[in-house]
Amino acid sequence: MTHLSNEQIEQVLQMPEMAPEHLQSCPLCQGRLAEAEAMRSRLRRAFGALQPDDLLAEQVRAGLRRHQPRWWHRIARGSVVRVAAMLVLGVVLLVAVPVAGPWLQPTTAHGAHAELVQIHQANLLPHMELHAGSSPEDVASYFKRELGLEPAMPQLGVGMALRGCCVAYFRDRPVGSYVVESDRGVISVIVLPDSVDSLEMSGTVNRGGRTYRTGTFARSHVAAVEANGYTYAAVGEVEAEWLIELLETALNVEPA
Amino acid sequence: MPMGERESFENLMLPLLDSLYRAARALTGSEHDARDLVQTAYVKALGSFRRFRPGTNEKAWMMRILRNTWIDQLRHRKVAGPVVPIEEALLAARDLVAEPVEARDFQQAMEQFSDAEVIAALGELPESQRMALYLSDVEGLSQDEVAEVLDIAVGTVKSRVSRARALLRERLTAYAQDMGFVGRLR
Repeated sequence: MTHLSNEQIEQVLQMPEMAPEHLQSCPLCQGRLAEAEAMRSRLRRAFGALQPDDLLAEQVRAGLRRHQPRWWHRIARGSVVRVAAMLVLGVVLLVAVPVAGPWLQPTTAHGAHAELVQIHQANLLPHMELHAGSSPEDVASYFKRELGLEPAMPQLGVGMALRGCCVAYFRDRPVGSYVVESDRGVISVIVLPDSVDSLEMSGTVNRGGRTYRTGTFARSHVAAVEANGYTYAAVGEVEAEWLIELLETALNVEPA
Repeated sequence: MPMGERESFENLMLPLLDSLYRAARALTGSEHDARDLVQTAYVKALGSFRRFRPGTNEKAWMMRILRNTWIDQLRHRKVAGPVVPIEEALLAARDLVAEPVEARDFQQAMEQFSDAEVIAALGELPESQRMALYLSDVEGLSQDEVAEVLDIAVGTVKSRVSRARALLRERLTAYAQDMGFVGRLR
C-alpha cells in the first residue's frame, strides 16, 4: 500500500473533493489529514485572537490622506519654493558643464550596467557606511570635496528622502553615488563622468528631448541619462520606467 | 490622487486591515514592527493602486505588497533577518528532540498551548516556510495565490507548506513532551 505523500495531504487539505480513493481505506493517512486539519484550525484560532486596535486604522487612514503617490504631481501644481528650488538646481547644472566636460570620454563598456548594479547592491549592504548628509547641500559639498564633482542633487519633499552618499568605483575610477529612499524602495543614483552611450545598455527610451538608456541585471533595473556633463544612472529593484520618471523629476534634468 | 480613487482604495483595502495586521505579526514577530509595516504597506499599495486590475484577489495583492515592504524594511535596517521574540520555554524546546506521538495525542496537546505559544512556535520557522504555511492555513489563500504572493512556483508552495507543517509539528511536540502534555509512544 502506498500512502499519500505530505504534498498530497496538503492538496487534499486545500481541495477535499479531490481526495484520492486511498484515503477512504487508510486509517494512517486519515490520521495525518486530521492532524493537518487540526493544526490549521489551531493556527486560525491563535491568529484570530490578534486584533489591531482602532488606533491603527486611524493611523493608516491618516497616512493615506497624507500620501501623494504621484509625487511629481506636486511639482505640476507648483509652489514658489519648488520653482525656486528648480531654478537653483538649474544654475548648479550650468556651473557643472565646464567642470565635467573633459570627463566625457568613451571607455570600455562591457558589463557596465552589471557594475552599476553592483554599486547599488553595495550601497544596501549592512556594513556600508554612507556619508549621511542632512541635506542635499551637505551631500553636494561632500561630492565636491571628495571628487570634485558638482552634480545635480535630488529634490527632497517629493516623496523621497536622502539617505546619504558615498564614493564608489566604476571602471576603476572613483565616482559619486547617492542613495534615496522613496515610496518604491531604495534607489541609488550614480553620477558618472562617462557618456551614456559608453554604458552600452540595450534599452532606449526617448522622453522630453532626451534619450534614456535602460538595462537589467540581477533583478535590478538601471536607467541612465546624460545631462550637462554627467551621466546619471538610477538603479533599483523597480521598473525602468519609474527610474526614468525619478531622473526626470527628482533631478530636474533639463533638455539639452 | 483623485478623491474617488483613494475612496475606492479605502473601500476595497481597509477591510483587510485585520488580516494584514496578523500577517505582519507573523512576518515581524513584534507588535511595534507589525504596526509600522502595515502603515507603510498601505501607503505603498495606494501608490500602486492604478496598477491593480479588477478581478485580482485583493487580499493576495495586499499580502504581496506587505511582504515586499517587509523585505525593503529589513534592507533599510541593515539586518539579516527579522528579530523574533520567542518565549523562553520555546527557546528551550528548540533543542529538544521530539519523540513520536499518536496523532490524537498531538491534537489534544495543541489545545493546551496558549495562542501566544502557537504563534511563537510558528515564528521559529524559517520565513519562507512560515509565510507559506501562514498564508495557506490562516488566510486561506489557494496555492496559486500563495505562489503569487511569495513569487515562487506552485510546486514550491506545496513543498514549503508541507515542510513547515512537519517542522511546526516537531517543535510543538517537543514542547508538549517537555511540558508533560503528551507521553511518548515507547
